[in-house]
Amino acid sequence: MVGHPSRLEISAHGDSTINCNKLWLGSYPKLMATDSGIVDLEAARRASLTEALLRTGKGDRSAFEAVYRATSAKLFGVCLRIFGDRNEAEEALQDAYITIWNRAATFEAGRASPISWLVTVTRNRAIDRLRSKGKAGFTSLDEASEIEDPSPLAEAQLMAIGDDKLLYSCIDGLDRRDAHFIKSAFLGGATYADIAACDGEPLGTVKSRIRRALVKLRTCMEGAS
Amino acid sequence: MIQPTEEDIALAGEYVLGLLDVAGNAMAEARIATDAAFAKEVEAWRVRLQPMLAGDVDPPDRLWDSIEKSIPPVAIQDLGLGKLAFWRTLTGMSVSAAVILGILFLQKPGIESAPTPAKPLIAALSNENRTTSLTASYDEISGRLIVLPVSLDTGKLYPELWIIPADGKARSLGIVDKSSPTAVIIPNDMREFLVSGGTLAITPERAGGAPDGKATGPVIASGKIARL
Repeated sequence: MVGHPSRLEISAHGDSTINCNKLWLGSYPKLMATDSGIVDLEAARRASLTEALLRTGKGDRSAFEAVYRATSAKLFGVCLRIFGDRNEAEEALQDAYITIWNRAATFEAGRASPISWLVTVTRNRAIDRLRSKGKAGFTSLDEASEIEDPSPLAEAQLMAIGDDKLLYSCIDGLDRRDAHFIKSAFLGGATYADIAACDGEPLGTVKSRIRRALVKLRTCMEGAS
Repeated sequence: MIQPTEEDIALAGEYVLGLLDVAGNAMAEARIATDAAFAKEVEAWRVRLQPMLAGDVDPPDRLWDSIEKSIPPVAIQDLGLGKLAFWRTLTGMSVSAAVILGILFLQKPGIESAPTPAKPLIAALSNENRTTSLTASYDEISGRLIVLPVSLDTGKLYPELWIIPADGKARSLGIVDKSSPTAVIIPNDMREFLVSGGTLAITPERAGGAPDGKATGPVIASGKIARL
């Protein structure tokens, strides 16, 4: 929202050479098969995280520390995917947790899962930082691709295996440019202006194209589940 | 269950991807606040896209220490739950100040079940040119100060909030968010300062806030507290 440069400024600011052909070659996390029995563990984890986050919202510092211990590896992973650079990811993570502390009172257990809320806050803060540094767009994703594969995976992530495969196979089913743009927007803060500049198409055309791709992506994911 | 329209599916996806402009964002957030089906589709997009961000990596141990130093000391509060839920409803989303205030006035009469407290204390913070502005609303019962940035740009620095009571000495209330509502729980020993006539101010400070509790940046916005 307010506080970072407008979209048009970003594309003007970014590296003067936006290389549209540089596709994001980042690796997705490696996935493994899992045993049963994780569901209960995950439900318990979620309940205790919800409790800790609600207590953080009341100003409980020890609950905040518990939130940090339970989620810092996951959220550092989020920052690394967006920044690639470890130092920048550390700063972004610190920024994210300060935001989490300040905004924990706005978390509503009934509306979102705690991890979804935490990842969203972290991702949005990281993208804001990326934009304020003039690094948003397509190119930054190449930096992100250099992160090594994280391992080992936490059990919580193993839970999401089905969803991961679904997302990637549905994204792969989209037009290549649209798929790349959706990834670039989510992980690199790319905007409609960036893609319009790259493809040399009017903004309106680009918007309709991506909006159609989003509907298609959702249909693919919902249809399969 | 009614399926969302393609229009709403695309809008929710654009919102989660961060593709909307400021006005579009405010519109989407107003929809989230008032339309449960749309809010559900937004959450569904977050869940759909989150696998792209998966991958655990342990951060260095020292990071927690610097995070802990960055947050203001706060006493644990036992807040009335109804009151808390009320504020959560209001601040669960970074709606523009206008939208939030609109909802405040529309919904407030129906929500209060506890004895109606005195009117809240509010402050409008701005600079001389009115290019920077925030609004703040303080609930004396819960000790909760809600700060809403309307137009706030501190560049690479962080906005630190100060209360300046009658004695003229600024006391830090911590770092607030640049673009979203921040709920600040005022420590017990600071509550006496949050009264009509006190001044709230913002200075840009580095991550972690001003060292030794003394502002280093210029005051970029300030305003007096008054009873609504």
